[in-house]
Amino acid sequence: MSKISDEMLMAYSDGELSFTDRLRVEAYVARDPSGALRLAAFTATGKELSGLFDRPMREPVPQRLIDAVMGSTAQSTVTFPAPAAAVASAQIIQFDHARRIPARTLPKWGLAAACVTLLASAIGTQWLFSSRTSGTGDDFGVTMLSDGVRVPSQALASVLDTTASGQSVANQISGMQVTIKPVFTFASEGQGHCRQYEIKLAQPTQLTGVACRTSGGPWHIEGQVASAFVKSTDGSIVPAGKSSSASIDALVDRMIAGDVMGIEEEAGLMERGWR
Amino acid sequence: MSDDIRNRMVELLPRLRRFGYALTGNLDEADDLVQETCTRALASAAQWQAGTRLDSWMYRIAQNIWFDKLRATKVRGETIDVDTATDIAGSDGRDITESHLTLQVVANCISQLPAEQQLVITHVCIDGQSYKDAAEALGIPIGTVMSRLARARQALHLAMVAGHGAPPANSRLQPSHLRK
Repeated sequence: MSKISDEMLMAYSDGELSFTDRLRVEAYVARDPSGALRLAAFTATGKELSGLFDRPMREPVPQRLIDAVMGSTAQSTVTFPAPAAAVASAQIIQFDHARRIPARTLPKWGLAAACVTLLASAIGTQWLFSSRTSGTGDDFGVTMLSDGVRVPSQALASVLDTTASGQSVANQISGMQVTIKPVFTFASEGQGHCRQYEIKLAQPTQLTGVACRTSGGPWHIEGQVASAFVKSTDGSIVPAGKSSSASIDALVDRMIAGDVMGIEEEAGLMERGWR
Repeated sequence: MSDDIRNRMVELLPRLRRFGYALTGNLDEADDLVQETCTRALASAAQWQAGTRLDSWMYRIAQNIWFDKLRATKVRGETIDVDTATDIAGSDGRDITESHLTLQVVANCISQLPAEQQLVITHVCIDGQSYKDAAEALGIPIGTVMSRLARARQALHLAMVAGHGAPPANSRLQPSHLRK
């Protein structure tokens, strides 16, 4: 049997080989001690590097860096990719959570939804549509993201399709832990059924958005904000920086027809495929 | 300039900081590097081609800034004291751990790799991308990704086995391709 290349040993240690190639490598390494030594260089460096520099992924980005990108007036609010003209002029209306969200669907930190809004983000749109449109597809006038973190396009949509409000679904995407949670469901005027959701990226970063679908249609993201949270000294999770009005709440306030749905009503919708 | 590119840069900030951390071994220095990178990227945003990878483009800018800085440090004959250059003390002392020492050593090794090897190791080992995704991001064949990555990791492994501790201060901040 021919000697196994360094690249192949490395691919083995990184889990990049097919089943048959894995067997070849394993047979070779079992037979040849020098192969095991060569392999060790790759398993060791893989292990050393994995997560070693991840501290910035768990911490909020310093404001000065956000300011460097956005300019100091970075308090931009929310992306309204769909009915831009109609919604962009939305007044920020203080949302009364107690009025319409049943307590059982409110996550502990959900009240902190009056969180500091760091940037307008279109990432959810890209996640939702990234596999249907490749490259610079353009569903809502938003250029598709083409950098490293890629969520399977179906991830968010399938969570919205089938997961009850308040339940989280964890996904491992490009080595990043991403948790998606529908928060509540409501019927809207004209946009069909809508769900507010939360996406937690690297620990302190969270995206909050609203997606809607009309009968039989795909999910559309109506708006989404990104926020950063920090752990306070008493261990609770609080918004980083000073709070601003929750633009997503304002969006929901404008869109909602009637009250937030109960779990049973929501389950019925899921059973009927959102029709 | 469109807000879109700014938004995407903001989304990249955590990963840029992680890359800076891996190059500098020091969060403060990483943040300075990232800030400079963003400023320079915004100033030359016209040179970025839509449809190509923003992350790889910004990584390259960060690398160039870092290499320039190392070169300047060398020209001025400055050495950087390992203890003050690193955030080893931390604010609360929690950071004085074995893993933190490892981090210093690994960051030092990474900063000595040739630029192209740094990029593949960043995309694959630090960002956690597949070989295929890294090849796409860097615009090079997958075979090139693998050969560069293998060489980089062998060098890293050798350096780490050879000296699990800080190397001499005068060689610490010297990427190999800058050395005569």
